[in-house]
Amino acid sequence: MRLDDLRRTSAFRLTLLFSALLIGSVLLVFELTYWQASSLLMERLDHSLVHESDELRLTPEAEQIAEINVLVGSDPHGDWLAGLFAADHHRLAGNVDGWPSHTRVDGVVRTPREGLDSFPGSARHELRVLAEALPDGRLLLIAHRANDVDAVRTVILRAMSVGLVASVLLALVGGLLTSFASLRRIETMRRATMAIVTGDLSLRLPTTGKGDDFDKMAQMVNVMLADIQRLIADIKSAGDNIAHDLRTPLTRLRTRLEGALRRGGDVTPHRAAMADAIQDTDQLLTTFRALLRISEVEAGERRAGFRTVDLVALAGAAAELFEPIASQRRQHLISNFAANASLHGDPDLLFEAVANLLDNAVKYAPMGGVIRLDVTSDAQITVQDNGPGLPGDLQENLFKRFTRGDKARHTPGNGLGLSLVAAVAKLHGLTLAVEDAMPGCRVRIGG
Amino acid sequence: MSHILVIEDHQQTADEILDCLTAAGLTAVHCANGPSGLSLAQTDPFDAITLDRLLPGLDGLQILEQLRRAGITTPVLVVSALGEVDDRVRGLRAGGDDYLTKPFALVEMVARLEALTRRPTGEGKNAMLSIGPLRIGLLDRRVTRDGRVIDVTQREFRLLHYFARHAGQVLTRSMLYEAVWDYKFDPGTNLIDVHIGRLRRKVDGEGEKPLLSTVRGAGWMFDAS
Repeated sequence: MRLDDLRRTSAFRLTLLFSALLIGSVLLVFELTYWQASSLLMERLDHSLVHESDELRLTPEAEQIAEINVLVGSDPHGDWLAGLFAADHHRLAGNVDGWPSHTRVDGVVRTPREGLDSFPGSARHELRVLAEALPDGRLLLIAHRANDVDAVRTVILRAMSVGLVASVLLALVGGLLTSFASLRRIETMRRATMAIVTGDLSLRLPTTGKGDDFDKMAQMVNVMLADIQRLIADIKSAGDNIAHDLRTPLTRLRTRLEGALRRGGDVTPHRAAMADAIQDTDQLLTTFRALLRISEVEAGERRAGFRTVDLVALAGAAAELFEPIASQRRQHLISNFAANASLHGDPDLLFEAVANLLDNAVKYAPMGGVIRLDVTSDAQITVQDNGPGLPGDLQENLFKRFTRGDKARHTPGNGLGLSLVAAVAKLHGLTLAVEDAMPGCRVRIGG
Repeated sequence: MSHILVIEDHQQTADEILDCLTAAGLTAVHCANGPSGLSLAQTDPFDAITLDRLLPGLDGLQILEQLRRAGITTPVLVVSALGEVDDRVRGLRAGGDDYLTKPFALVEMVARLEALTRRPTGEGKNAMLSIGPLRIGLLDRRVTRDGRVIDVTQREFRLLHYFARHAGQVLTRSMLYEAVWDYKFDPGTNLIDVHIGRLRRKVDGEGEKPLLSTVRGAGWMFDAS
């Protein structure tokens, strides 16, 4: 696991994004605090300036100079600055060196930009100045350095930078840890996947049981793996069955030809053997064709040609197709159709499915038996016969290829009919249910 | 006598086809690849062409399209190992007149070629198709044989009409199914037989000369002669 991998994880990218957002929000909060605190302090300072000037204005003229000296003198830090000037800007008292130029005499607190050299002390801090004319024409100037405000500002700034650095560091460390954790989970998944890819389909992706998003993903993949494993097992058993079921007729064919060759003789027995051989081959080809049909349907490409199918007309045509063969076996084919029933699908495949079901029913219903074909208005197609029904052990493998009941060994067929019906039903998103009709068998295709 | 061009790259299959066509009284010329088949089809007059879909050099369907573009309307029977419905549709859309899936019985091919080369009898605007003792009313769907009314179902009427139009030709199960039933389906061996058996019992009454006869190993024929 390299740092480069770490850098590319989505957790790490998210961390970066959140760090940026964090820095933004921290800056915003501190900005607000800074601005609020300093304006509050500044307001208080201004208020005390106004308060002092009001006091001085109300002080009798004779005591004003003393009062100013008390104000300036009682301040050990020298933050208070004050001066009493004659109307011609001649200084009468206070610690201000001279009348600062450009000063407006209106009793409003300001931060002057010019004439600052008239004020003693460090110019490092902001200066708030108020000047007003006393009733006797003299000018009063009071000022205060905003060093307290500045001190608070400095504290806030320092707290801000420390806090910012700390939170960004925390976010980054947290992000790295989560990225690392997710990388580790992915690495275990990768190992499991590689093991599965190299052939062990029974393996599953590990889950922690915490139910987090990785677990959910692993569970989804595991479901898929189970499906793939089942499909491969199906294919294998289908392959085995194909081998088994084709070997029997192929062996028969070979024996027949070998016998004809050995017996020799006239043309007539040869011709008969050949006709039989052709019949055997046709049977084999039918089986192959059915297998190909099933895989074609299962591949699902036919969905493109779906349209609205009139099930009543379809079932009617199927019943009509099978009626003669049923009546040949003195069976009654009873149709019971709703007035309207339709489905979005492939008409040929649906017809083939119904035809397969009817074919089974005709095969398994006894001579003189009853076959029912029902279509309901909610697009359910049911085919029911009163034959021997299904042995319990057959139910499970019913839709698998080549499954045939023991009693069916003597009837023609390749055990592919219901597999095709199942494939057609699956293609259409329909359910296929086979039930014991007691007696007989009932197959239902429907939504 | 019909003259057939067989475009087929597999030598053994081609030999079998030629043998069988000759035995059925058709003359046939074989051509093993697409481009020469195309030029032969453009220069010599044939009554029908069998065209393998997978050929070296040129796809069968491309040949078909070029033929049709060149204005040659000779009926073409497309032969293919691709049996899927979509391929069938594509083959017919490209200008094929019929489609046959490998493996096929040679009698099936001969029957289909004969159906392609012979003009259907009684084709036209007549409301009545008369053939031998049989009268088939195309509008009122009334069927009589020597004046005897034969009561047929709608499907049986279509079957009989198809038989009559292809009188004297061998018709196979799948040809009949494709012509008369509306859903594509492989009806197997017995299903069509019982339908035709039933029709035959209606058409060929006691002591009458049978019009519908079984052709062993192939199918049926309507013979009014």
